[in-house]
Amino acid sequence: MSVADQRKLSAEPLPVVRPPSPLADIFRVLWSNSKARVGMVLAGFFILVAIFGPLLAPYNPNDTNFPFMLSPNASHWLGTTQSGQDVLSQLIVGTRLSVIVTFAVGAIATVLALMIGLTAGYLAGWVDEILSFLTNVFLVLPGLPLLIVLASYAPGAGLGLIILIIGFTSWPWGARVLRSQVVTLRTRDFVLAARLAGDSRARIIGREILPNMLSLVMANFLGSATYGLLAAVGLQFLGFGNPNQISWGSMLYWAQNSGALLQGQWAWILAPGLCIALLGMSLTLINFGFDAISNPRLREDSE
Amino acid sequence: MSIVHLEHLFVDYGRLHPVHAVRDVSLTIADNEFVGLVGESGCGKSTLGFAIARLERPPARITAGTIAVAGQDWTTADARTLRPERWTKVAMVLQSGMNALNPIMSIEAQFRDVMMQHGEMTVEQCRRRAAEVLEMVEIPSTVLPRYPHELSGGMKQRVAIALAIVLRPKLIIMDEPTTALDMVVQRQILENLKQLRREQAFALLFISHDLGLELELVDRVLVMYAGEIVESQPARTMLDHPFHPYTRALLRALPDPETPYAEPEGIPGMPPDLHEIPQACLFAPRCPLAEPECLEAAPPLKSFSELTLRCRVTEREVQHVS
Amino acid sequence: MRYFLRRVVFLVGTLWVAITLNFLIPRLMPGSPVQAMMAKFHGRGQINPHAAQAIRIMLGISSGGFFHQYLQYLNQVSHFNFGVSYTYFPYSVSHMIGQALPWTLGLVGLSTIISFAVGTGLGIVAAWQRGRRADGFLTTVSSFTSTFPYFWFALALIYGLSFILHWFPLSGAYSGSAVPRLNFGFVWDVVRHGILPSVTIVISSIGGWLLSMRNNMINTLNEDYVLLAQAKGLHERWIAWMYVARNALLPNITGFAMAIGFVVGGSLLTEIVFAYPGIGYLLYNAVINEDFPLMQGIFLIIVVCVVLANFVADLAYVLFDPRVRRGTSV
Repeated sequence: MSVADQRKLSAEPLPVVRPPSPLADIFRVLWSNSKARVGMVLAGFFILVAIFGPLLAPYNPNDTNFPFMLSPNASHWLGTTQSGQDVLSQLIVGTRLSVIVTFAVGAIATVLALMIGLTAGYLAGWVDEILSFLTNVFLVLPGLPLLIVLASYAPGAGLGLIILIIGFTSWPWGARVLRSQVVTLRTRDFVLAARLAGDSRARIIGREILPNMLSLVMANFLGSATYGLLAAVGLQFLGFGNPNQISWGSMLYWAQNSGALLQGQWAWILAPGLCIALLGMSLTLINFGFDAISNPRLREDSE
Repeated sequence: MSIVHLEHLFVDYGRLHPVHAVRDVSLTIADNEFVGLVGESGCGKSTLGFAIARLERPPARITAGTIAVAGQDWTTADARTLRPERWTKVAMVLQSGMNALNPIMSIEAQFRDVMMQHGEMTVEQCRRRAAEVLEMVEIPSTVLPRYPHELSGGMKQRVAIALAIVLRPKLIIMDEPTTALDMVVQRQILENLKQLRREQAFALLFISHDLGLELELVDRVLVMYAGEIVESQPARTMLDHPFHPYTRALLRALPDPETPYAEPEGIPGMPPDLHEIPQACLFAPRCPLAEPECLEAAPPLKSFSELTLRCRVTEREVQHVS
Repeated sequence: MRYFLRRVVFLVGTLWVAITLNFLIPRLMPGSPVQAMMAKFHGRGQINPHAAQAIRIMLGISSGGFFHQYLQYLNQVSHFNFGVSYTYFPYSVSHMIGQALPWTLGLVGLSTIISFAVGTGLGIVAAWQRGRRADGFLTTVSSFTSTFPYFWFALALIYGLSFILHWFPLSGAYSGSAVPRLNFGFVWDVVRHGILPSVTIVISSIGGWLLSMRNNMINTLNEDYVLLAQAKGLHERWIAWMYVARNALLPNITGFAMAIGFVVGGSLLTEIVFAYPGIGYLLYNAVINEDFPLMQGIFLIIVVCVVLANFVADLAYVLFDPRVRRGTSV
């Protein structure tokens, strides 16, 4: 008998049952946190713009048929560039690449952090010693200068390479946090029980340990994503990557190099920077919600 | 004279979907009386202990009732009024001394901290008094310059007890003070407390889930179930004449020293959800003696000379015994 | 002592990894840019054969086996010999770094200390006022400012305060006409030039300190010893400082280690926007001119500074944590 049939048979309305999935549970707690709620709405907005950007933009962002360096006005809300492109259209279309960089770096860094953190934390012993040492070393090495050196050996690289470089240098923070979580989980009763029951290592990690670290993993993803956004923008601003791919970072590069501020076209610089800060803030706000999940002490009181 | 007098105290957690953690608790602790508060974890015994000291933390809050400490109303007193009264009237010892001591201060500094807060004392006077109370709990005064992490768990807990008695408080509230310690250390601390009682006058509220421990130490036992006091009687009579079915279950759950191989019995079932309190005896679903009436109305708390009882069924036995 | 030894081992280990990375990067990257660079370098004419050799070692085009090259490299680096810059020929890389480094140390060092102190202080306030208006304001504002791209905030400041209002100079570390000497006029000129870059670094990094300190504070507030401190009737402020903040500060000092690298990265961008003659601006010029020896020398120096700052933070930790002070391992 299907669920629908059962519903027809029983006269009473079905009680509201919460799905037991941890993801749904996480979302519920996130939504109940006012900061995280604002963050999710804001991030959702940027994701929508990233998807539908080309449809929303008033002009073709590469169209150079407008007057140069216009200040914001009725037909060009954010003015135009030094080669006569519409800044608003560039901003909207550029959202896509910026959002992609953000989430791609977040994903790469988190997967790496998870692999290294899980290995070090679960295997312990000398593997842990070595991995922890390496993690701490890379944690201390300043990221941006390393990125600059790496990127300058690959001039004119596309955004893909930039993403890889940033992703592969931003795992240590997450690896450290996740490792310490694995170490505490490893000695918990339910994990010990699974080990005594003879479950395989992969099964214990997949079934017992990972689900209990979900919020921490998500928090790490958001943190790395924010870092990735800022690092990519920094590199693009310096002229790394392909400046002809429209993104918020390349907009800032062109604006700075054409002296936009000195010529009074402040909107060209203000707008992409503000978008970067807002996207970054939205992720940070969502992270407040994850902090509250992994650490109930930080939860907002139910009053 | 009584050191603590509670009337109809209610404590809730949260506002939107409040958990009624402590409900309608009235109790009196006489000067120098040792009182035990016993119950399963989550029954509200710690919440009650913290509320008496006015240390309830949000989302916990007192919603009704009064707390009087040494004749002074503590329910409405503000933080400024309470500050000089704290520790001189009511001191506390918490579970596991592990975190009871500030890790970045030496033991001596922590003694000095409370002594100087509550009176004009020189460093030398502080040190002498600290050594004195440490000796009472059998700790050498050489630990004074040490830091908490250099002490064992049992030593830390005894230092915490010494800190609690240093200002000669009228009442000490101890919340599961021996739970995190091994049996040998547990025994030592129990002996320390008995010894302390001979040297210094103070009342004790000893909160624990271990009824056996309570019966050995205290004068009177309060049994708490799901936020309510269900039975109160002197320790000397409780072992032979427990009345409330819950008290009886707790006693059966103790290992019997005379038949060491007998399995102690657990209590079947779970305590109720304290979001919505049914109009019934809360223990009835787990009670072997429950009658249909028990599920229809909450039993009243009745007092008989030295006994207080909240059970419709067993109160009929009281007359027979006394 | 054991703690100290562990830190020294870590310090040396980190430096070794950084130097090795620096050695490997040009060798792992596709070879052609390096070859092209060498050709470009020869175009400058007269070069000292000794310097040319240093550059070959730096860029990995010297003769000899891989391991031999590595040893040569380590030897060069240990003498702070990074070869010759071809942008600033005939000056050596170390000379150029020596010129720029004091500016960066002054600017970044001072700004970081201010940011750490003020941010941590505000974090204490926010946690103590948890749930009240001051907390809400501070956390929201700092989650916004901590995601500012440094250089963008710098541009906004330049536009508003320098370009429109003329309150501050547009760029540089001192006026072109000023004579560098130790008198009030020059110092004041340097301070005036330093304010905006410093404000940029402080505003962009302060939020991170604030938020992490608030987190630590809230965790510590729930410790038994804090509850007992209240039961003891101690004064609020004393509890806030001696029982909560001092303990919450410990993880923040460790966090300093992780954040300093990020702050240094951000301040590089700040220097570039303000054309501030420090290491960051020098690195930018090296990158633009594809001056690889200079670039790699700068990278190493930055690493050394960051690792040393880290080491100092670790030593400062000892002052706050008796567990480490007493020689027990943590």
